[in-house]
Amino acid sequence: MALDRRGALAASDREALATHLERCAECRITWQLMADFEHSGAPAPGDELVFGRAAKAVLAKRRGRRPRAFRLALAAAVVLLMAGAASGAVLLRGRLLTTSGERDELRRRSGSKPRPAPGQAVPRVPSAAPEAPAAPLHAPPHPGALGRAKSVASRDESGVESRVEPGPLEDAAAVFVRAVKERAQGRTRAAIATFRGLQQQFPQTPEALVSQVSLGDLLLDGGDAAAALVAFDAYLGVLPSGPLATEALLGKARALSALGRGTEADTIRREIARRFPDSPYVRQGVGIQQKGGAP
Amino acid sequence: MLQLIFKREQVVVPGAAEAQGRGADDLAPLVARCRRGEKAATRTLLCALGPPMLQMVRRVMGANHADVEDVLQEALVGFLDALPGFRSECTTRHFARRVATLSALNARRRGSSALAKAAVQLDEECWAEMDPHDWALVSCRRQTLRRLLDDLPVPQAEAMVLHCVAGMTVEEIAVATECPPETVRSRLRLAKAVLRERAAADPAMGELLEDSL
Repeated sequence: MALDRRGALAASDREALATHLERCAECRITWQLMADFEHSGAPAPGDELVFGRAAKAVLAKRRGRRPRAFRLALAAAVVLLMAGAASGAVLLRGRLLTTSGERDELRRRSGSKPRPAPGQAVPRVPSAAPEAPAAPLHAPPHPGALGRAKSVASRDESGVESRVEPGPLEDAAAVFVRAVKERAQGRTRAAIATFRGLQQQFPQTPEALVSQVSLGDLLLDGGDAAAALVAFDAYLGVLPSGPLATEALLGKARALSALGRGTEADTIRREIARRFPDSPYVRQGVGIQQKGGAP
Repeated sequence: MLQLIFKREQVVVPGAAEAQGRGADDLAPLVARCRRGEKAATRTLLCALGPPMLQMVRRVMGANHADVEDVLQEALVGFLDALPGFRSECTTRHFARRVATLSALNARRRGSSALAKAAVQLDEECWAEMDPHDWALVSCRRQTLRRLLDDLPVPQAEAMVLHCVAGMTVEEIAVATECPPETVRSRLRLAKAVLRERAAADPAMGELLEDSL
């Protein structure tokens, strides 16, 4: 209809349109409205003054504005400051939790018994129910538990054993931040060891789960595609639609490609394109359209 | 109608590039200079886009609405603010029309109660050669559409304005609004259904529509 209003339809199409308009009331209404508005709002004498005033006002308004680059730099500085403050807060969190009440609260949430204060006798409460068997001496720490974590030895891709020594009262978040820092500093082996230590010490924390994707990326970049595949699957197995699902699926596709399983990799890339059409990876074609290659 | 829409791809007529919404954009060099911060280019661009944007504002608001000039300014500011993000997927004129449409729709929604009172006086355009009776019918239909725009969801209202008022094709709207054509068709279908209900519920409007066939 719009093309016909512009006179851009062939004669046969015009006839078809006329036939359609006879049958379709909604299109008749639309057609009539198009005709009604066609000459509406046409330029009138004095419009040049309106444009002049509007342009002058708009340019005057924009003159007072700072350049866009300056505004972007300012926004970036604010974001960096906030990120720094947040990182500092995370790092200091473990040290600030020094009162026994806070520790007991955290232990209570995580299911462990509070430790008695030094010199304080442990009250024995008679219980009708039989006591549960005592936990084994070398039982793994409870997930999410806060406290002096054990040092964990892990073996990196080169077979060199590296020992992760968590700081005093270091919790999962602090270990995660440390690993991310190591990764940012280019200390790949240390980062891998720290991520693995995090997963062993705090296996069911969100940080451990998220670290699977980071660990998978590091392992994949290091050439250990099989181990990377395990890491990505570990994340996807728990959170198949989690916030890092796209990255995990992309990593899995890369790992499968590296292992020579191109068909499976292509299937996953199609799945990414189908499930996350608005993802920047899909829009930019990063790792989606490439077959068998790393993104 | 779908066949007609798809057939238009094969029609070669003067101005077809503009009709596609992706054709050569004669304002593209000016836009590039504006992005580099040239004030003279910005002024020239505003003067070039002023008439079509003012026309869109008038069509949506009503030709004699008191806020037309303010809304035009608002639209021009919005256009310049949005220019850095403009990806040139449609012509600059279509982009400007869209900005003007959204500005006018927002302005209507902000002052809908006052508009409703003065609605009859706002559309006083009458061409010298037009029969007064025909003009009354045209004016009534315009007002019906404008009232409908106030009640529709913004995406549907935007699609309706760009299609019925600006005369853009579905494909041009899809490019300008960065939506799939099917989405635009769906929005238009929903909006037209509501319009038809209004026409059926309003005896005067229904009569006018019947007369117009």
